[in-house]
Amino acid sequence: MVRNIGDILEERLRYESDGLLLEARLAYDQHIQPTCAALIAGAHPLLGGHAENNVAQSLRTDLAAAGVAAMTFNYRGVVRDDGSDLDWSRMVSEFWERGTVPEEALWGRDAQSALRELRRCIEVPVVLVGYSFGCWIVSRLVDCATPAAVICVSPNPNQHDMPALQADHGPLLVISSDDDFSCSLDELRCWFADLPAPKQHSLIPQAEHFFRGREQEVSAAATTFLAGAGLIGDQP
Amino acid sequence: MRTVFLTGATGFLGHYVLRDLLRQDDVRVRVLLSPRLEKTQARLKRLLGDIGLDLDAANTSHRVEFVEGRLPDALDDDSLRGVHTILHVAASTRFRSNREGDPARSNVEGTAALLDAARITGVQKFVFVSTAYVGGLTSGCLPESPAPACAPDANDYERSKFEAEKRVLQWSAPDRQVRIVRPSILIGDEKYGRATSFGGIYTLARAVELLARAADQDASIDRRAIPLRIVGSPQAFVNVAPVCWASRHLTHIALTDAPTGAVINLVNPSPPTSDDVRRWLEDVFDVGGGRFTQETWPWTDTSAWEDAFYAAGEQVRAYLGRDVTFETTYLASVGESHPLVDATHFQKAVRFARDARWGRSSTRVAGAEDSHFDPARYFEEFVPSRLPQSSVASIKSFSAVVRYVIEGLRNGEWVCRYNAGRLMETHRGPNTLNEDFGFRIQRDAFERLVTGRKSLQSAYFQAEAEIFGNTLMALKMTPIIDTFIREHPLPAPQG
Repeated sequence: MVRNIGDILEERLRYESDGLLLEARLAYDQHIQPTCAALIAGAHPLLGGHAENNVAQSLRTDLAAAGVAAMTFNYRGVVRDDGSDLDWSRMVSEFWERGTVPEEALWGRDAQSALRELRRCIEVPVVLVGYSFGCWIVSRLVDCATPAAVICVSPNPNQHDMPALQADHGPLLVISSDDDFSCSLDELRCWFADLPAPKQHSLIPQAEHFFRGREQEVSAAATTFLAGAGLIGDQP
Repeated sequence: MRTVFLTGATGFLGHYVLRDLLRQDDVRVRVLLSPRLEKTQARLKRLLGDIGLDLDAANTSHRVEFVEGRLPDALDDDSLRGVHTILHVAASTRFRSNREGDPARSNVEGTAALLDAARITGVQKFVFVSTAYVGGLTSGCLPESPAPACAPDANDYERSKFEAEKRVLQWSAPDRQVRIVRPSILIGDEKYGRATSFGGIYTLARAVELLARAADQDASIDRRAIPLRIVGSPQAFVNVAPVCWASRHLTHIALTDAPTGAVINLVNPSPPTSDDVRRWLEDVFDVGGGRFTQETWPWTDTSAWEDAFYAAGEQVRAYLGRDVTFETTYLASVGESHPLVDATHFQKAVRFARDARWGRSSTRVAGAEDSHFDPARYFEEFVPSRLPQSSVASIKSFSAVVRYVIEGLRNGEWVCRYNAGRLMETHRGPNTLNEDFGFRIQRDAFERLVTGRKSLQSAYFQAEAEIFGNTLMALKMTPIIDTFIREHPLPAPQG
């Protein structure tokens, strides 16, 4: 299925992960040959992490407008009839108690599968983009994906270790706000200081963890960063 | 396809006009929105969603586009390129000038700036939304022609519209068409009484509520016989009309080139009298005793009851103290002669406004007054009876005190204490039970939530719900709520 938004085409795809057929959306400008592709890993499935989450959706559309082939995807279980047999009630219970669930490893596998699908669709350098929990997801892909760049939006190093980001990972952009409930600005700066260069930190003030109504500022920071890294042409 | 440039689209009348324009097949609308564009656009999307229009769909089909700007500041050069018709709805409705110079700045200078830009870019038609009370007319008949004069005691709003009309008429030329449309006092829609702005006639309704509150606190008064003098004549007309009706006509006037006069009074051809309005309002607030007087204002002997009543503002006197009729040649030509507002509709509009706390609870106040949905029954009966049957009951670690605030609903606040997956107690209204966290959500969004048409997470990400207190706990609670609703949704409303 293809949806046309001005010059942007959005293809609704299925990607295979552990035998499941899961949903993904690939957006690109039909008049521009993409110079890179972005895999956008969304927030935690138990916290609204799906392909149409406000930040993920905005990044997909805006990066596409900047000449990137941008893909968001659903983790298994997010669409209840996707064939996965996750015990949602147990997950909800466990998540309430511990703030984490064992299924997170499975969602990491889904991201790997989505990356394979993206590479099957288009052969250009890949940028890994993570939002919130998705930052942890993309950090687990860094070693195998050798990305051209990594973008982390609202990472929460208090909740998730991301050791792969401590190693060589190509240019890194961290986008955060100064009033993120999950990680204070001081904590974030401390974590960021330990990361290897090249790296940038873009601060969007007073946007909380969720950037509600501020999504385009996130996209603008990402687009500017990719342009600076030579991965896309001048911004339109 | 004709391109219409619309101002005031996020206003009470304006968003209905945008909806009606987009319901036409052969119209493209360019909307002027104030900065910041994305924020204003999000607000517009919510407003239109409340009245059944999907702005994203219209956007996708290239039927609507947005330009950022704020009159009277100059528009970008391209703003009016290709525009056939300007529909200028934006206005400041302040009765008295503020430090920024409104209403004159918006209504006179803003209109003049738009006319200048229209002249330069070759716009062919300019439709200006004025007011039926232009120039501060207090008695007599307003013709469908340029307002003869501005009354010395006209308020600043009426004066600004008078000045703006003059400028619009000066813009007229053989190859340029002008329409000045003068709507009467607009109230909420016929179906729900829905409104998004609560000045104007609503100030009068608010005054009656203040009177009723004063009566609540005085056990010695017979609330049906409060001694209250009302400035005005009981037989004078109060020209109120529904916003949807005005929007339909305004859209038609903008899109058709049929010959009409340049000035159109868009008024209720058969309006209620001041005495009708008094009775309808007294009925809503369960008070009585008001009597009309011709005594000249201001009075030196106002009673405490009159102080309470007139404290709501000068509009209280403005709306009942006039005796104006209107030429309705245009409306007669299109077959409009029947009454547009009756007691049921008027009272529905007032109740809607009251439940929305006169707009103070939120900028977004949609929700059906006659909806089947009763939040009180939901919290106090439905949830307690269903929660033990849901999988939430098996979450033994789930203990929290949660407050739910339903915006647009009087006393719409409940606090629930859960322990080991069980609902231990529910209280309505503010109380001493300290919450760990809470959710504040619009009434209509809450209805969509409990009927399973929207998740709490989606409502939050789309800024239709807010979290207070411990954000992390609240976020972890959202899948619990969504699980309960998925297992036990309320039936969705019909139609």
